[in-house]
Amino acid sequence: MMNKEAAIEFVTKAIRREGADAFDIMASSARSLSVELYKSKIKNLETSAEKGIGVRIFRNEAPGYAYTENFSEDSLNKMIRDAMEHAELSDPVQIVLPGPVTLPDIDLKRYDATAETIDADYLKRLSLEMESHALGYGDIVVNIPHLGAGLALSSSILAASTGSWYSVQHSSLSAGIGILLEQGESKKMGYFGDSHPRPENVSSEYIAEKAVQKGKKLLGAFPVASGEFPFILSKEVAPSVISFFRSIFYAENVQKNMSRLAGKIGESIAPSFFSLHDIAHHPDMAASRLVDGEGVPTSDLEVIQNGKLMTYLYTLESAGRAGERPTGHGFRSYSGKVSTGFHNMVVPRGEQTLSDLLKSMHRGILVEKLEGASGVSPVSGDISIGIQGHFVENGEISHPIDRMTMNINFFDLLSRIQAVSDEYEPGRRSVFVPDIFVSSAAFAG
Amino acid sequence: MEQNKMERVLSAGLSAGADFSEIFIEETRSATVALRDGKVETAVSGIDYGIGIRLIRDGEVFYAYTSEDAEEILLSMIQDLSLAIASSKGLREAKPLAYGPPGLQHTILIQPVDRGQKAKPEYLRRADKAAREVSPLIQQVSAGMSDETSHILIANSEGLIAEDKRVRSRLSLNVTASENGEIFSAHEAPGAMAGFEFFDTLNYEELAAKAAERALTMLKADYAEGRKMPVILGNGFGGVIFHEACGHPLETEAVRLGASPFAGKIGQQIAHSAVSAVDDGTILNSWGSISIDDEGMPTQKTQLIKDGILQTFLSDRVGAEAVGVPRSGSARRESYRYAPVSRMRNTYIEAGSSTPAQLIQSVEDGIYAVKMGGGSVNPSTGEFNFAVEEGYKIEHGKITKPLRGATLIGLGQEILMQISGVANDFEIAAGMCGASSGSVPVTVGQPTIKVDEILVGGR
Repeated sequence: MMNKEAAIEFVTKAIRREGADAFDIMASSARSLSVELYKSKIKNLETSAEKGIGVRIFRNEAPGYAYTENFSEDSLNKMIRDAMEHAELSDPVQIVLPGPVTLPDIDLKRYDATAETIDADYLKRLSLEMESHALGYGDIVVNIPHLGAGLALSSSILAASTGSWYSVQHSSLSAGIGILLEQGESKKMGYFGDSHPRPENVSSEYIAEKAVQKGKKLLGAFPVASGEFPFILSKEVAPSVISFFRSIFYAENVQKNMSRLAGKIGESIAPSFFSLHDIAHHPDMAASRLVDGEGVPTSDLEVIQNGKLMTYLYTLESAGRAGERPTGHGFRSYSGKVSTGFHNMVVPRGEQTLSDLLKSMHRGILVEKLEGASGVSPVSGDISIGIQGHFVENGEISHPIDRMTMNINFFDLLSRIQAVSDEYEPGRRSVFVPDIFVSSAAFAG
Repeated sequence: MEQNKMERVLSAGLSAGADFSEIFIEETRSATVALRDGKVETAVSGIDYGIGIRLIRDGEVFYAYTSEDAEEILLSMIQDLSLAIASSKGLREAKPLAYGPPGLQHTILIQPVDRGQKAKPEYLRRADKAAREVSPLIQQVSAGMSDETSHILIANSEGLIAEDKRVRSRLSLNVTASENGEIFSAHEAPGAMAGFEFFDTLNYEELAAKAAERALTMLKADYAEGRKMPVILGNGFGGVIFHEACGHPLETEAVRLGASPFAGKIGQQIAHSAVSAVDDGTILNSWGSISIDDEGMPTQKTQLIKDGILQTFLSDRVGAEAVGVPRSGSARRESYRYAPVSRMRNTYIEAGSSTPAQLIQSVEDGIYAVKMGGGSVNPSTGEFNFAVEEGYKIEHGKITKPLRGATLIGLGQEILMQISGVANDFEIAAGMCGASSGSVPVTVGQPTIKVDEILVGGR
């Protein structure tokens, strides 16, 4: 069967024969290797080699999508016929595919050739080291149900009828551990995982230590009486809370009346010391890239600046609909439709330490763990979520808490931010949010 | 793939040092049409194609998958796996392949490909129109129809070969209401193991109106009060709590890793005596049903809990051996990219004898959670959380006003003992379940039930 370069050539010729107005093609190949261990034995070892190709074909300004993982000529031709049929079925959109551009000469460090040398022994050794470090914390560690490491290597090509041709290559070594800790009647899970394009940057000792810390500090937790409290979203959970609501900044959701930020460009939605940026070109941030999934060059973007909403994130389609310029936020795999997404989401740091924030709060709740996300609605803004963390009295940590819920609307949360700390959680790769001190929310326990 | 080629690959797996080898071949065609603002926004289809090879040695699983079917590539992947298998290698032959007993046959009347994508927009426009007619406050309707046809072949070194064709269809309807800057969405998403006849028989107007009315109701709802209180869980999707908080810990995949509070408790009382629960793969044409599982075993109906007593676990080949229970035809995976593990199918609490009205009347001060919005559980600790999509306050045995922003949290093993009332209005609802072998279609179900006390997150 063909490789992806040959498949792109075959598909390009075939689409031109069919008489499409325009098209783009995404083709990917990937290789992976992973091990999972339980009680020092391999529970699962997995290796893979896969590929896929997808097309977006325009006829009379209407797009049709199709994809296949079978690179036989029959299957590629079927994919093209399906996409042509889908273009006939779809309504027109205002999309002009971008032509080729010269991208800036920046090494984003998404790929490291040493990752190609990783084998199953390396991954098993890394996992055993994590297990050994975790067991070194003594009888408090009663089970390690989740333990493993994996390697992922991938390369993708985006080609378009305009002559654009971009290829990217990624490598990533990941490792993680989930530890069950027990003290008396109290049981807590501590999870931590890390990944990096360079294998040497993944530390087994650090991962095990973080996982143990995350579970250990919550042992012996109990709830406090329900009420309104000031609170701090710790740097461990603040990235998740901000990420839950990332879709409210997408132009497509604004256009669908699914975002409460509709019509608020230029308005203050947070205090003046709070900003939210999307960083596209930072070599130490994992989701950096020079061009988006539609061939639009990317750049850093101020989404919230000094409390004011500056812009939404646009793909070609949502930009065409709004009469705006695309911002380079189109994401696409070979199998899917183009969607919107942040690259690296960054809330700039403040100047106070977490200790300063605790003192300012005096009495309240430090939220350090979230229980799922099903009570979070980006559409309504409602947050009703189980939390764990610590109760704070006289500006100091008092005791761990669990079996509590936090209830607040995200847009109220933004307006109630009192301060952000000067530190991100170490090991963060693509979402960087420091501790956030908020004046009040309802907590039940 | 030719049978002799499969036998050579399976033999290579044994020769690599495995006790057991298995091939899983999948070709899945999926197709979706989705509407926005009454216009076709998405029309997409695709073919997923690949082969998974599983080797098992003394409970250790070695898995490889690829979208290439050339024999030399499959043998080379087995060679890669063999490097990690710590046992003696040597030439061994897999048993000659012979077809096993056929699984349950789900009748498919209209193959999706026969009606095609062009047949979908008309139905979607009916739903869009019906939702918007409910109120001018309905601001957005997203409606999509998806179908999937999978051809599966499983062959193993014990000589079993089995084939299956799985056809599933699902409607997704999301209705958004907005007023004075407040926005609320509600959804309906029925699905079945069925062909296009499923779409032909749906009542689009009724489903759209139901979602629209729920969005409008919750738009004007007060926030729930946060504290512990009795909760009446509505029938159908209310069963998601049992699925997450109790079903997952009853899978051998959790039990064998010591990650379940129910490990070692077969024969013991783990739930209130009012509770009997089942996981059933055999419900004809149900969204969560299968014919054979992903190890080629005909699926079964499995009684998990009877009158509060734990009967067995849901198991796959590896889990059954590790935990010491029979295989239950529950090995499932999302696709060839995953090795199968024990997973739920149609999981439900069986009907009782009370009426829903009697349960509500028995609550002095609590919440009626009519429709759940999803949730999750940590199987190791039993900690769960669930959002209530549509809830009402109960005062003095009567439903009074709608409530929003309620989340239910607690421990699964404790909640099971708190179910004190089970009604007679059993229903099931379709959903997707994510776990280590990917996302698989399941249904959750229950009659209306009463839980004496749950912590309700609110204000």
